[in-house]
Amino acid sequence: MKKIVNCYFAKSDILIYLLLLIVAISPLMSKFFHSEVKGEDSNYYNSLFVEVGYQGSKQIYPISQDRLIDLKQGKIKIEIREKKVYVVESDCQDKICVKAGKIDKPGQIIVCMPNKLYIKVISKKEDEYDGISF
Amino acid sequence: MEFHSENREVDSYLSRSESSDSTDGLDKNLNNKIQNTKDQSYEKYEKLKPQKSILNFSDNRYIVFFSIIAAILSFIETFLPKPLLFVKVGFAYVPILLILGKAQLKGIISIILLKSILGSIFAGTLFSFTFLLSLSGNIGVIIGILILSIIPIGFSRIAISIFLSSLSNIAQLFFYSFFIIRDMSLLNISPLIICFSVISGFFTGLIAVNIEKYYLDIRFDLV
Repeated sequence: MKKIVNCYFAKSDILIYLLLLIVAISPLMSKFFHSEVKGEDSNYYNSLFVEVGYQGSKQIYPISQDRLIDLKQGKIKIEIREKKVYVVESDCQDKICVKAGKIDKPGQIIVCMPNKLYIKVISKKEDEYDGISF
Repeated sequence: MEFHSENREVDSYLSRSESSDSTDGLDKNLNNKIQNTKDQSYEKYEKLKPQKSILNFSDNRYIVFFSIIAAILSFIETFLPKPLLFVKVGFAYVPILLILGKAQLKGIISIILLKSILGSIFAGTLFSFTFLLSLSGNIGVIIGILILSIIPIGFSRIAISIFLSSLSNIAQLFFYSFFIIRDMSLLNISPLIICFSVISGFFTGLIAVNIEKYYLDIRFDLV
């Protein structure tokens, strides 16, 4: 510190650059050695549920289990597979519920107006923000 | 094949023209004239070149001088658009970099703290969230300066500025992830932030080195 070299590059600068490189690489390396990320993911999906409302009544299913839900004597088929929910088949006219595709994030919703059906992904985890700005 | 032959012709023509030019007397005179004018302009440039000015400090008044300069520079920086949260050229740290290793540690630390408070007063963000963020970055810089003061090796100013800028950005990121969102997963972007701080720190260091080399000589008669 007391003898700062007045030039663009000093030999001792390599120490600082190496230190920064190690600090920059260390979070990337930790991903290879630890498998905590997967555990976090399973925790995340355990807190997610699927709410299916049909003709005024509603039922809740966990999103991590694969299952087929039949409604209206098999005319509406809802499937939960690979942590995603989607409508396979429906007897309505425009098939908007089928075209809505797969949903897996909390707050997303599929609605079928003629059948009075809605499917919603809800999360039981608190303090979850979509984004923060300032 | 045609292409090659054309090239040869052009080359031969060029060589001929060069040889003919060198033999002409008129062109020699012209060349001499051009050289004369070049020399004169260079002398003029030498006269216009700014002489290195000297700043002498025998009191603790340098703390006020440099903290106000740094605060004004940080205020000017708020006009510039910020594409990302951590990316900005730290003009405010140029005066601090210039006196690093010359002034006392106490003075440098007080300049940094005064600069953050004065700059936030100018920008109108005192005691707000952004002030806390900038203060955490400044505390990171102070920690870095203390670390560098312990190490007996001399570094160049560019390396020091890169080190300090990355430390300040990491300190801001830690503050943000510990106290505001309380989620450690944000620390995964630290390599990206170090990349940005290396770029910005390099440019601030470059400015400081060039100012010290060509324009300003700061001297202290302290202790």
